[in-house]
Amino acid sequence: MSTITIKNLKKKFGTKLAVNDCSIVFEKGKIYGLLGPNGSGKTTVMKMIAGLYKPTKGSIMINDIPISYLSKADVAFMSTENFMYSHMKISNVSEYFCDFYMDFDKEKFEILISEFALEMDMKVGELSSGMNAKLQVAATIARKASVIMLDEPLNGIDLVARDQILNAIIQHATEDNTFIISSHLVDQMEPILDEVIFIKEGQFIIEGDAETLRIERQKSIVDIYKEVFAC
Amino acid sequence: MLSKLMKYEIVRKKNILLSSLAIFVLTELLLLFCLFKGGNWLVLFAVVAVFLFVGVYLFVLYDNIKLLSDDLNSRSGYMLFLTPNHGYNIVGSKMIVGFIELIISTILIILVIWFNYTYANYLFQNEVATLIYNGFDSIKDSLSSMGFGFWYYVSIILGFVLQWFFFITTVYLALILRKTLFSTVRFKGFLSLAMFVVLNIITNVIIQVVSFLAMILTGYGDLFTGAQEIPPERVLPFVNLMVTLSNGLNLIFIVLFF
Repeated sequence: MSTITIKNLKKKFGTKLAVNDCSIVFEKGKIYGLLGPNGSGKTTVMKMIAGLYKPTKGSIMINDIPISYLSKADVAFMSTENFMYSHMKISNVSEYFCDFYMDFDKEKFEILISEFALEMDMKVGELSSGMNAKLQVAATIARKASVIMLDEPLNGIDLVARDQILNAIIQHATEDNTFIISSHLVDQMEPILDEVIFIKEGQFIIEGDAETLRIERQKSIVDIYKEVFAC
Repeated sequence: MLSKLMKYEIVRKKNILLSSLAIFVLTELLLLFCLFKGGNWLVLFAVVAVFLFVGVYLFVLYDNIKLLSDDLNSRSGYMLFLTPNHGYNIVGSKMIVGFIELIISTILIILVIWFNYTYANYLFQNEVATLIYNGFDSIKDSLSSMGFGFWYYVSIILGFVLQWFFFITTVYLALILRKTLFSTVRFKGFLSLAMFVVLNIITNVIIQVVSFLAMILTGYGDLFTGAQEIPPERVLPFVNLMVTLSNGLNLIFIVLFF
């Protein structure tokens, strides 16, 4: 069953074409890797699905509903930027998410916070960038949303924490949700991805089942990535 | 959802509001000290009082604009714009919180005036009271003789409230257009500012022209035809008409721009 249907999606910033005529269907119960170099259009695609950017052309349907403020209830998005209010404590973040997202699981959030070695009375403004990233991941995946998107969740994270985040993603990926993860760290992400989408200059150039791609090309996803983006 | 949005707007502003309140109290203490010293210190009293009153309203205005611009221009805005809230709710909550801030500031200003007046009255043995009462009474008498009643004052206050909302609505409209329609334009800041100024000029001209036409059509000009002296009670219906028209048009513009 599909959760997101994208048709002929286009996004222009002035004269610059960030996303060019992309179409794809995301299915439930899968983890998608949105892979590509800087400026390839990964974040723009995610922000359009999250309802933060309006597409210049094309359509995005989430559970057969067009993007609107209502679709935001079905989409959990972690931006790569630190966007949590700095004046809040982690406990306030939990309260905020409880107030605005019906699907927020407070207990799950508290467990994740504990697993990530954070404490509920820590102030967001005083967290390191790595701790902030862990907090954002915890708040995002503690939602039982049908679409969960993480934009560069491993950025600025130490090796131990990377494993914690990857484990958390695996644990929270269910038959009822779709995970979309963008990352430069393809080697770290490869083991958990079901499907991969290579995006180059705003276009989806390769998409498909990760295992099938590996068998067809006799290469790992990392090697395919290097091959595609090296030139 | 609106109440929750308002709750978090107020929580976010807690520190800045408390700091502003502390500055307000310190300034009031300075005013009381000036009154206590008397003589040349009363000049300083007058200057500080003017700065305090003007400063309070400028701060409220600045803070109201900052409420939206911070969310539009900083990363933490995602925290708000990712929530499943309609844009009208988000902007509406900010406008209501800003209006509450305006009301509280006005109450504080009234309290300060009353407190300083009472203290001055105590210090100068009713000299101040007599002076203020006489001035106030003469204004009240002349307005009453012209027929200005309770509902006139209500409509004047309503006029100020609508003007406030109109101003904030046009500022918010300009800020939002800067981030959406003009986001890819080179001089987006200048364009949105120019649009804000033009909107204010156009709407004011419309209000003036409509009021003027309405007054001509209802016979305002006839008052001056061959009249030696115009009784004040004959002017009042036209003033009421102008205020009502101005309020009505402001309300239409607020809805339109929101």
